[in-house]
Amino acid sequence: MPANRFNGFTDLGVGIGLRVPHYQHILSRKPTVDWFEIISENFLVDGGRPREVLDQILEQYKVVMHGVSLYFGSPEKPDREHLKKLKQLVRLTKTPWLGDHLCWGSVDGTYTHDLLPLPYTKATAKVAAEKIRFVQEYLEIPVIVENLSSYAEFNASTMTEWEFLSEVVEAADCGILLDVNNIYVSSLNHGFDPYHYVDSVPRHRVAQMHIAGHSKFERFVIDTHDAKPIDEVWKLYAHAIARVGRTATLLEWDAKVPSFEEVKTEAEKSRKWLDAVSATHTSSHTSGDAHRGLVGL
Amino acid sequence: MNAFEEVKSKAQLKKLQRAFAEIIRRPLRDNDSMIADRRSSNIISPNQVLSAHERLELYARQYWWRIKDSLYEDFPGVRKVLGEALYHQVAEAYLIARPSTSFTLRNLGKSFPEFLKKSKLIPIPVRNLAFEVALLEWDKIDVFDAAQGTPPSDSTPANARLTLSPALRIRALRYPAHRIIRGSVGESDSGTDHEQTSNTVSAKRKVKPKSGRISVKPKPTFLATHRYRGLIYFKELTRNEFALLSAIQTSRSLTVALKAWRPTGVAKAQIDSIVGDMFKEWGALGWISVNPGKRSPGLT
Repeated sequence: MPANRFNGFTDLGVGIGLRVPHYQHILSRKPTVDWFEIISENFLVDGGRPREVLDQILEQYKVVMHGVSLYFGSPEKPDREHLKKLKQLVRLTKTPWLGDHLCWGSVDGTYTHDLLPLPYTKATAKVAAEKIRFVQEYLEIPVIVENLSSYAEFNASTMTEWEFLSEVVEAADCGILLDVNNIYVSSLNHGFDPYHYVDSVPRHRVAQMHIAGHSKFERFVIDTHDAKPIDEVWKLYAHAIARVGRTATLLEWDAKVPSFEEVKTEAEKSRKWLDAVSATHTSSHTSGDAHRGLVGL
Repeated sequence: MNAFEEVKSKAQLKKLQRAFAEIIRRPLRDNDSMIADRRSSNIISPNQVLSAHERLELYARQYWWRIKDSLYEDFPGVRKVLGEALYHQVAEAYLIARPSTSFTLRNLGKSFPEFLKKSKLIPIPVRNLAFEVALLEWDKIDVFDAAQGTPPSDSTPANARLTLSPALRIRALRYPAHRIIRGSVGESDSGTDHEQTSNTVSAKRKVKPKSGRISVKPKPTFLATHRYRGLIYFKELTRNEFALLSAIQTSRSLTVALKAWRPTGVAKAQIDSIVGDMFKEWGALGWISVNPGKRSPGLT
């Protein structure tokens, strides 16, 4: 879905995560970038360098907010101060949507600062959906939820992750930030078919995609965002784009961050699939299965 | 059926999350292994290669590495005062006693200075210095992203209340603690930016070899920590400067502040000229700010 109500009817193209090591390059060279994704929490401050940088970025670029601490799966109400600051930032950045993770991370008023997995049950989905609705109404913009990479599964789960994600977004009436790398990482850790996952999510709700690199260890795979996406992730991305349609895409690179140009070059690889699908997708939806292996890396 | 096998209500979800958090928040052993908990296999299912314990251990490591790393970066001066080994002991004790209550990692060290002040893990002679160094390091974090405030101008109403800029902290210290904090002048991007990312994993910090402790002799010190053109600086103050800045910070008007100010070693005839010089410098540094919405009974 190129533009839908979950991404504010936008068609942003290829984005790059705004990261501290690149500030100087971006501000001095003003490179061409479709849009930047910011981690909201890094800018929920009253002033100083973070806000000065953001103000300069906003003069030149479109910015989308992506959060890491709304914890939709934690039953507690969101922190008032947090929400208030988020809303101020939403107004400042004019972000067309706000993304955060379908996870939990706080309990009894204390925070783990991690994106922890949820037990996939109807009751959990209800908790998450209510919180997403609350946040969405408060912020007055579309909220989209991102699937996690995870390393553990709960005995209490009664459905698959993709069934759970679908249950939540339908109940919350929100969009999906489909992280293709996270699907791939979790598929290896939990032994499911990542293509089946992609084929099972409600495609009309996908508002944005993430791609990233990860690290493979002997017995598990960890989401590290410290390298280029591997070919298998690009293949899965191509499949997802073929199924969903042209979708705003962002490359996440958070550790061992290389030069801005290197990140940009890697992110731009997604454009060929975006452009290819936008040419064909307008006439009819093509089956995603037909696009497996449609990768020219 | 065990207590965590079913999540059919909000209460059951919360109970499960509470147990999960308790398990991963127990300090890791020296080899980074997680302490065994019989609830692990009740909560988490194993896969073909990892047990429930091992799967949770990935989260336990992540939790501890992330928060320890954050505190480590924020308090380099405290590390120098305590030495690496004692620092790690105290930091872990702090993170157990005061788990984060803020949505942002930026605030993780907010209570660290007070914790150090009372920590019995630290020998008394070192404790006071560690406390003051931590205070200044927290001030740096606070000042880095504080609002600048509105400097007074020709259009400022005559009855506007003046106060100190939020990007300025003043301290009366027992030690010249700022001398411990290397690189305090002209911080680079990486020094104070608290960047959170959306990935779920960070690498473990490599432990530095044991280093000696650094100390300074006690000496009454008045200090300003302030932001100027995006960078954080320490500036030593005279006793008179500190007293007037304190009075401005706490008084309901500048007139009251000036009346409360008792400068030492200054002849009465010189006061106006000294105050004028101080305000000229503080104005240039952006230290004086108009308190929005507040009006004082008399601005002179």
